[in-house]
Amino acid sequence: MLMKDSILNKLKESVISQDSNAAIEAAEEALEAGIDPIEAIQNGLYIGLKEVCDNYETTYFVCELVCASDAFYDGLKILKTRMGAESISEMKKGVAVIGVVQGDIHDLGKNIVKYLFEAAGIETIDLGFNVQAETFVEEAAKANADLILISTMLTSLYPEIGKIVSLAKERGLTARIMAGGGPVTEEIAIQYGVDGWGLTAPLAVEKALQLLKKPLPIEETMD
Amino acid sequence: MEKLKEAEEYMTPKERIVKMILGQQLDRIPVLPFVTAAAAQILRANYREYSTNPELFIKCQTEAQRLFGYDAVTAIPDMAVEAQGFGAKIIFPDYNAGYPDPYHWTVQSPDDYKRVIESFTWANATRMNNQIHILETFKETLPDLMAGGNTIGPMGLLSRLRNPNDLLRDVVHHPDKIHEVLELVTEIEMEFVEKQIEAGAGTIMVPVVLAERELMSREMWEALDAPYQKRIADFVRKKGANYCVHTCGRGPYFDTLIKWLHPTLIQNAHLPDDCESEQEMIDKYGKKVVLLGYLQVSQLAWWSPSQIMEECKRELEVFGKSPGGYFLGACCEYPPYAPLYNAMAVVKAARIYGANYKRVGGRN
Repeated sequence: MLMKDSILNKLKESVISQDSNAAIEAAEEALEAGIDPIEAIQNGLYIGLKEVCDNYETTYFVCELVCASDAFYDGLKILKTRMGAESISEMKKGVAVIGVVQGDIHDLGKNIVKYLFEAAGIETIDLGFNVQAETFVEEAAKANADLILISTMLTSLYPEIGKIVSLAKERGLTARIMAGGGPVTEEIAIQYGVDGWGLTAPLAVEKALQLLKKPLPIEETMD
Repeated sequence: MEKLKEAEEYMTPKERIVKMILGQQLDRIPVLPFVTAAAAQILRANYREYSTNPELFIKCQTEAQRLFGYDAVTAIPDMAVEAQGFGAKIIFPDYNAGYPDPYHWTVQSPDDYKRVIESFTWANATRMNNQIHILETFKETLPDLMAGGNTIGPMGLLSRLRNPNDLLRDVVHHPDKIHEVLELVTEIEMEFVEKQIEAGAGTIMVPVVLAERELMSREMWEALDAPYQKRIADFVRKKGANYCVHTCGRGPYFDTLIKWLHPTLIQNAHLPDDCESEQEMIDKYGKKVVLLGYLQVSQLAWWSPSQIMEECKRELEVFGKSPGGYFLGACCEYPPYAPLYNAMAVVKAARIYGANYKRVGGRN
């Protein structure tokens, strides 16, 4: 028991201290010790990432978040080698596709949101930057995503948000759509018909969790 | 739009700005919609031509200023001027400002920084030389205007040469390599600043975007970026130009910026991290700096001219009372593709609601 606690603590601390090598070592140690990979993720790596994300903008900032997430993903990669698809999906609160719209290359904000969503237990499929509207919808359909997260830093590209919303509707997707990025205001987000918006990355996570709990409107669930 | 009397203008833009900083009575408040790449629209130029042909840039900026009547012109086509001098491949979209190719970063690994920075030569820095040439021309052709130069700042430049996500990793894992090149970059940027001031820049604007709650702790900024930014700020003042900080993220550290850099002006898009309201920002910092802004780029891009004028009126009522002075304008670059009628609305609002401006109180 003591050894297990110690390994879980090492996993957590490796993320908090942003140490990828330590995360890999602890993940390997967890597997060798026969710890259930799900437990190692949920009670080790996730706890560390959550600690960093919960204290984002007070104790930890972007540099720390990027490096803590690196450690998290490096550890996760090792642990996932011993997990079946079913156990992976059991851990999720939801699946989101995330990307920066076509014509925009600013992906730092998108990455922050991604890390915070992962820490909240939502699997994020990262489409990167300069992503076509069609790709957002295609990938969301393929992953049966619960959320589509759209990011842009350029005011000229707001219409891309509307394009993704329209395409998703045409395709009959039930995924909730959120938009954000430096200049994107709530007013703009509403104008383009998204379901949610957050002033900051942590607020976007809160909003997403609310949306995931909220039942779909009747017309969307009738088909 | 209601018909209201506009100010009778009897000052040149340069006089207006200088007297505002000195706290004297003005014909109207100074105004800067910060029309940079958007000026290309005036001559229907595409952004590639506008950003790479200095003569066309000068024509567009001159026409735009004459048409709208704002108080300062800029020599900055986009934020990738210096990066070109260090070997970055710049992409010029038809309808937006240029940016470094994100699929082919110049610095590929932490070991690349020094090689890339040391490869800089003025002969290859076409875009930096163009910016200096633009300022020289403005000095001759628009002598009554405040001409603004800039440098993107040491870390700003690195973020145009290296994938920003990897740059942040390097800051944590390879701080020595980062500091080594920041030394070199600062020297080159100071030289760039010097050339711009000699060419006629009355103000140098520097984006100091890392000193924000969203991105970095105060302590990390002070250890990483502040010493280099300070050298540039001190140098600008020594050379007799105004030093302006630009910050457009959430929660800028005004107190720390002022402590290190002593800016004459701060252009910001969001409240400082220690302020809950605009009034608190004025109470805390209004005596220490001239405020510049606070029109949001989304507003300039998507609002109607009437809405913009209403917002300008509101901002003038709030920020116009700032003891250190206020410069009505955009919080960041005017959106390149946005219709220019809102730039016109901003200037009109300054003429109507900012007539006979005199700041209340004074600067520390």
